[in-house]
Amino acid sequence: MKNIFYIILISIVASACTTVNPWERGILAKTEMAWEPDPLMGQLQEHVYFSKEGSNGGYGAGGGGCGCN
Amino acid sequence: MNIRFLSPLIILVFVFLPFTVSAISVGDTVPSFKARTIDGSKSIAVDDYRGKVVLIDFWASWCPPCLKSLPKYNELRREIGTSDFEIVAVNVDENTEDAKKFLAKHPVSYPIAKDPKGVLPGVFGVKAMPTSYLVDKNGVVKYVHAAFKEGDIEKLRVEIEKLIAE
Repeated sequence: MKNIFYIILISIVASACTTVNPWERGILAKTEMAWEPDPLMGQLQEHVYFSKEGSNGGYGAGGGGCGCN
Repeated sequence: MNIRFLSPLIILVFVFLPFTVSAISVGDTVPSFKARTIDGSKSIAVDDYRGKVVLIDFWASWCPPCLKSLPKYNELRREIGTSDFEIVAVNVDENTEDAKKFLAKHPVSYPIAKDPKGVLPGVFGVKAMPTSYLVDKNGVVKYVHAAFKEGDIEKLRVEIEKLIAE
């Protein structure tokens, strides 16, 4: 029982998780931290990808694989 | 239940207790605070504005809605006047220079305090950026507004005018 208690206590104290408060998100708000820093470039790359692959899907973009849309 | 089984639970409660933050909400008395202005030239104390309706606004240069809210608040202050109303902004940028650059592009006339360590938003229990607290003449929080959209300024104007008339 004592060992279980210490395991629980150590796992809590050693946890690397922390809460980032709303006012501490300055670095997270930087452009380079975004999943898609440049939405226009992202759309263009997505278009080139599905045109070359002759397939579509997975990105939420509509249209066929002809590269004409 | 055996105390041996209860003790880990008690420990857990005490471990997580510091993480529970009590937020300032409607009906609470505004915490008394004093902070340096963004240029460091003087101090701003919220108690100095007792007798006026005060809007305490927490903002940061990196927060996109703040780009909309600051000019709107400035315009609102100009329209309402400062005889019965004042805006006290608290900037929470970790690097105050970022806020200064922002204000050079989007200047405002109301006093801005700096809090790079984020002590005040912690005291207020800010849940989103920006968040503003509308405080009546007696220092009681009457309205809390989180985030900012185009139409929000009119809602705020109604609340401010209601409190000024009281």
